[in-house]
Amino acid sequence: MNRILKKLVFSCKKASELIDKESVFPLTWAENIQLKVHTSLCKACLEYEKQGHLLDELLDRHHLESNQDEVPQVENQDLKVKIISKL
Amino acid sequence: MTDHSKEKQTSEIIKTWVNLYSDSLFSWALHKTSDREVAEDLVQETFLAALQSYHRFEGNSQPKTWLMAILKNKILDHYRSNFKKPVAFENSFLDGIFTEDENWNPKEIPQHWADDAHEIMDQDELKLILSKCLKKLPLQWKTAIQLKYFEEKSGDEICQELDVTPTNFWQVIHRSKLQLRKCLEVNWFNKVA
Repeated sequence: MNRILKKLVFSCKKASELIDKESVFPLTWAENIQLKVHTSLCKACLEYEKQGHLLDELLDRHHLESNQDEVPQVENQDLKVKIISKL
Repeated sequence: MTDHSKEKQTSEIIKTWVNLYSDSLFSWALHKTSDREVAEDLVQETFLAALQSYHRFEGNSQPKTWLMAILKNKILDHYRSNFKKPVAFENSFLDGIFTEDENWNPKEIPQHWADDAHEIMDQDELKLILSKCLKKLPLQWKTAIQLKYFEEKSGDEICQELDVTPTNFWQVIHRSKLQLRKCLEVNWFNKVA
């Protein structure tokens, strides 16, 4: 099965690349079709695709939370002294 | 006014700014880089650059805004040089994930996470694990993730700023995600399942 799949569509390695490429750049028409066919036949890559979407969401939220309200203010007296001594 | 006294006056102004704004600048740099040492260096460089190009500062903008613009450029330079840093174990890492004929290595096949994966995403422990997983990424990969997700820039914008090709960039994102995925699976999903 895997051998036929690879001839028809392409390898899991290539499919996983396209899955992540899609999160940054639009796929070409042909890439899109190939990926859809591949994930409809390959459970592992379908799972990888789902996990990729979860990862996107997690990373987006991770940022929102650290950015809520404003950036937390940190005092750094030593740095002040150090910079002033260099001016 | 002599050049010397002018210089001295400029340096006095910058010193006042250090006292007033260095904490804000440092907080921002720390937030962006998550690295205290790097953040300190960037802020220091910012004030030194401000001293040198003080003649270009126009009184109609706020000092803090001007300094912040310099700092933002410094942070971008920092990302740029991080992205250009080669990753030592890159190839061996990818070799392990896929077999020679480019199938998933049986040990690396993505497992079904949890049916309620969306609901558990808010749990603090998961966020903590994600932070740890991010820290483990090679600098170049982490930079790619920071630019895409934390700076919320588009792929095209990032490529332009880093002066890299789209293929170069998405391949780095791909490697980062392969590793992040695995790190989360090992440290979180396999444990709760």
